[in-house]
Amino acid sequence: MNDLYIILTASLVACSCGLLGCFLILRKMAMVGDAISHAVLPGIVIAFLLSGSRDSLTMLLGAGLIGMLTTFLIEFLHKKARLQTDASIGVTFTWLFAIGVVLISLFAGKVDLDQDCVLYGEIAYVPLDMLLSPTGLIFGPRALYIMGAIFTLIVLFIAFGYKELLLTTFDPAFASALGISATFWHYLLMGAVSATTVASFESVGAILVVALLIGPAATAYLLTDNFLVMLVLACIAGVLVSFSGYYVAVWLDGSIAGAIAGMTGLLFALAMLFSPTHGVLFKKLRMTSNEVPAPGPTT
Amino acid sequence: MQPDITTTPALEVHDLTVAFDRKPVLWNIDLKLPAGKLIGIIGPNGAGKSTLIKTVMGLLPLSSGYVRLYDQPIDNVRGRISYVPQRESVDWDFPASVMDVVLMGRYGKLGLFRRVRQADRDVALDCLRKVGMEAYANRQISQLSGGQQQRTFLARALAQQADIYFMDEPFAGVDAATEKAIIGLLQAMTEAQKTVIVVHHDLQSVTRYFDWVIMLNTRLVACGPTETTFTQQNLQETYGGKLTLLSDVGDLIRREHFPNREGISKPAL
Ligand SMILES: Nc1ncnc2c1ncn2[C@@H]1O[C@H](COP(=O)(O)OP(=O)(O)OP(=O)(O)O)[C@@H](O)[C@H]1O
Ligand SMILES: [Mg+2]
Repeated sequence: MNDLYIILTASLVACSCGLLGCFLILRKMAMVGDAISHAVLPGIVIAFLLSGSRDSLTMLLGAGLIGMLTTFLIEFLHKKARLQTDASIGVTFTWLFAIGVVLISLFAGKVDLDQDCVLYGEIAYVPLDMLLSPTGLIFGPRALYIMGAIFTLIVLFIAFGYKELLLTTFDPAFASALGISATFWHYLLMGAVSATTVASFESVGAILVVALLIGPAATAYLLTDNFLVMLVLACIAGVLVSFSGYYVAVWLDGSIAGAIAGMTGLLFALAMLFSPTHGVLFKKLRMTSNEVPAPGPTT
Repeated sequence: MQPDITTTPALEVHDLTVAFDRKPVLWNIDLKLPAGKLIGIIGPNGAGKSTLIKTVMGLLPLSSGYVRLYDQPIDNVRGRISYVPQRESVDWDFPASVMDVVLMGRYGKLGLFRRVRQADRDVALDCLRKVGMEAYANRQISQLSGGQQQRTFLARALAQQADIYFMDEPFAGVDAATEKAIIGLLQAMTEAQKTVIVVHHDLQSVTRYFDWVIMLNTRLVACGPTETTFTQQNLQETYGGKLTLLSDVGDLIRREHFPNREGISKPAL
């Protein structure tokens, strides 16, 4: 039963991240996920210090706010200070992350949080934190419920905002011309990324979140030319890496989060080699079978 | 200086100034455009042509002045306005088919939460036919040539079924035959009282294509019917300072009015 709880939780994290990752990649903002997942650290710590509890909702709120602040800072540095996007992302998240680290070490005594827990998480502990009814009935792990709720929200968000998300991702200027605010959907999406990152951090840790935000989506991108199919494939890839990652970890007796991240990389490498559209191998095959003459210097 | 328009203008721009970092790129633009005309915007690189279109569409903040379409602020009439951005403004490796992109032209009519229906697909396919792209409907957009990408954007704009169209260099990379076909299409649209405003770079075809011209170089040089506005003096004022260009423009005008019978053709511009 514990195996199932862990795999299910990991799959929900992977699918949520995979869906959002598709948008991040196509918006050329893959690193924003990275930035948010690191930058929420001070938000988590401050929320903890203020409320004094590890209650998930408080943390979600604190981190969600910092997530939005991160997005806003990145936009601000890019638009107003005319810094390149990658540079403004780099400046913003390292700075916020550093504040988080300092806060944790400052309050290390009082805070039941440590860097290891936040950075690496521990998905193996998921079944230890069960949700109980007042009468003592066991409903299942709390993390499973949280991730289930997040996943449902993200699916609803994408289902209802599909047109708008697609258009503001592909052509924001045209979207604005139609009266669909690119900024509004940008912040909604970033809000979703923040919430997912924070909800995931307890179970899988900040580093795995980054891997899952980019890996499954990048794999899916290589395998299809259709956006809807890309979203579905990202979820399938997420479930695949959760299952295989878990069993690899059991087999090696190693870290589950680490194994899942490893499988994410492996799956991406396979897609890169064998994808029918973008694959290295098929491109080679096509080149040799078509026998295209090399472009001569005369043309 | 410009002739009075008796009916409600399709577009009215009053005292418009747009600046990036306090440096004005459009300065004190005042113009009125009639409905049902094919209108060209010409001017050198960096003249502010794209900026003018983007500002009118409400995509850029204005430092002063106002813009009205059909005597209304833009937000009241978005459904009647269509926009073709410069082709380089999007990532053509995006996982979407030609049909997907053309359908985006329908999103404004659909509104929030509503899905694309068969009727929208029919409109989109019809628009693809008009630009000669129906055979490519299911083609992945990364596999299009530059001209085909441009025609896809045109089809998307047509699918909006608007009353006024703003097109930023729709003929960049389009072959001569297609350009002619599309101009024919646009002229037919203006006969149905649609207004089409096109950023154009090829000075040679201006008199053949456009009913009206807007000549722009940070300031508005002139705006009016092509016969009276597209003059050598206005051209010099628009492209002034660029000496080689200036002599070419002079050449061009001379040829327009007195065709060179000896056929010593000089590559224009
Ligand atoms: N985002 C921006 N930030 C700062 N300056 C800008 C920006 N966009 C345009 N400009 C400046 O505004 C001026 C007008 O640009 P615009 O793109 O409107 O020219 P254009 O007439 O469309 O030129 P082209 O023929 O090359 O398309 C240029 O000098 C350009 O450098
Ligand atoms: Mg331009």
